[in-house]
Amino acid sequence: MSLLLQFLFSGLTTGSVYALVGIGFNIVYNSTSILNLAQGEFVVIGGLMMWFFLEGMNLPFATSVALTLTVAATVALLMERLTIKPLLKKGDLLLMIMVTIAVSILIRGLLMFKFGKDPYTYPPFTEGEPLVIYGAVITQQTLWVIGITALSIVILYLFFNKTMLGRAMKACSLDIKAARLMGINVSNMVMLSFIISGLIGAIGGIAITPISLMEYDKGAMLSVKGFCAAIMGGLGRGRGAVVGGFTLGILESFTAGYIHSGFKDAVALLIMLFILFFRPAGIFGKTETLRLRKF
Amino acid sequence: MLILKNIDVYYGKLYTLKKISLHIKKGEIVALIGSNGAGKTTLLSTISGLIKPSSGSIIYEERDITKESTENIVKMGISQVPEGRLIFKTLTVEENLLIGGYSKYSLKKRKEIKEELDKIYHLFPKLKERKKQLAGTLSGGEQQMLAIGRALMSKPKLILLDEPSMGLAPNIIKEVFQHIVELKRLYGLTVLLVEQNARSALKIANRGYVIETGRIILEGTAEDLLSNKDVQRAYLGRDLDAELRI
Repeated sequence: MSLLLQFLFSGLTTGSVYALVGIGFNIVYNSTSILNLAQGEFVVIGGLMMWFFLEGMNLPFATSVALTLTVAATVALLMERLTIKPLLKKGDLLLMIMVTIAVSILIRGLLMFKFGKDPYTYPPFTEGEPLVIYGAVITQQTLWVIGITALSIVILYLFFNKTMLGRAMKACSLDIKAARLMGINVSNMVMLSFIISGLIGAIGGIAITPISLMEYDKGAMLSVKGFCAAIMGGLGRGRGAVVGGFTLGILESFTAGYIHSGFKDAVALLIMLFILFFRPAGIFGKTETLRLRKF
Repeated sequence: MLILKNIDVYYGKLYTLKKISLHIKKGEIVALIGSNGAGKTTLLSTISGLIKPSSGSIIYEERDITKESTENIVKMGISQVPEGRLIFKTLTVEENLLIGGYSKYSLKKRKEIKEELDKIYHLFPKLKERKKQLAGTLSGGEQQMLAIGRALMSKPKLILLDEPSMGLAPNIIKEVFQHIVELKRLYGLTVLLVEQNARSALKIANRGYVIETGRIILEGTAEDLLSNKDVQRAYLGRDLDAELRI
């Protein structure tokens, strides 16, 4: 029992990050119909920059968080303005997706240049005794990760449903012509979607690094897992990515625990294949919406 | 209020609007009549700034808006109800209306948006009944009301209506047109009405233009156009030769 719970908790922790990456995918996908495959890179930027400000420069915790988020937002902004905006008019989706891969390689290269190939970590947010539930140990950082993920989801929900800006972004994702006729600047909304998804990734990175360490090349795998989470729930559906992320995290953790830790990464790929073969619209997605999409 | 001078529009290599000139005076309902593919929707898109003309100019309230962005044009008070309505189907009725007020929105003006919303609910009580429903679940006529209501949320002075009768049953069309007249009266709106349904459009219009393959071929008061033989034959479905034989 305690072992099962232990696996469940560690699954929830990694699942949180997958969920955040998956949500990031959805936000960009909804406003542009493209997949930002550099999504995982922002998690790495979050973790490594946080280490840089906190340990490298000995800045206080809050300042480090603020600076890290600023860096992530800036990278996302530059990425959108320099690579996506010029291509958006042509509307070649496949080309834009390729470009995001190029950007991810570039970011990875720059991070390796600056940080080398070593993994980095910093102390958990709060010191203290871990919780013990039925013999399973939960560190305080685990609670932070799950709490921050939950909070991000709530804030995003409120943003998209209760604020004018959030509604305008939703409008862009539904009908670009109609959105423009409402006086919405679609280009700015696309930029905003990149910034928000970059920030979400970085938040995940900041929170998870004390648990799982962070190195320069973790982004690619995180992108794959996040993408898996997103398509499991049906691409473009916010709640779907959350459920998908946690499911994937838990399945991975059970596979590692009960079968072999070497199979862990295969889980996401297997799930992805099954989804694409049998339910391409995802578990929560509708087939009709899929047909109406170009991608 | 709005003057178009010699507007030329190319759609890719296609020459779609040829030297279009027209004017709309404040408080008028002007009908633009033409068949499929005549360039009606392109003309509205050009006024709204979605498409830029290759030459010619658009003057709105003494300002040249030819090169303005769509956002600014909406802010200046030209609102369009697009062809096929293009409501946000997976959002609620209320969300659709609120997004319509986007261009006028700021934290300080939250109250005004609310007032505007109440005004529209008063005008279209059915929308109020269904405000929590997804817009895609409304009937065709209700969707058209929603699209019009959404356009009104930005407090326009000039409203461009693209085929409001499309896909609606005749009695609903009548209702929609009655609403347009009422809106003009209540809001002091100026209306540019684009229609294939020439008879209904000309009945409520003051003046009209007839557009054919990208060119304006006729203009005049609504009565003149209604009694014009060419217009009757081409757009009002009246076969004069057959009538003469009887």
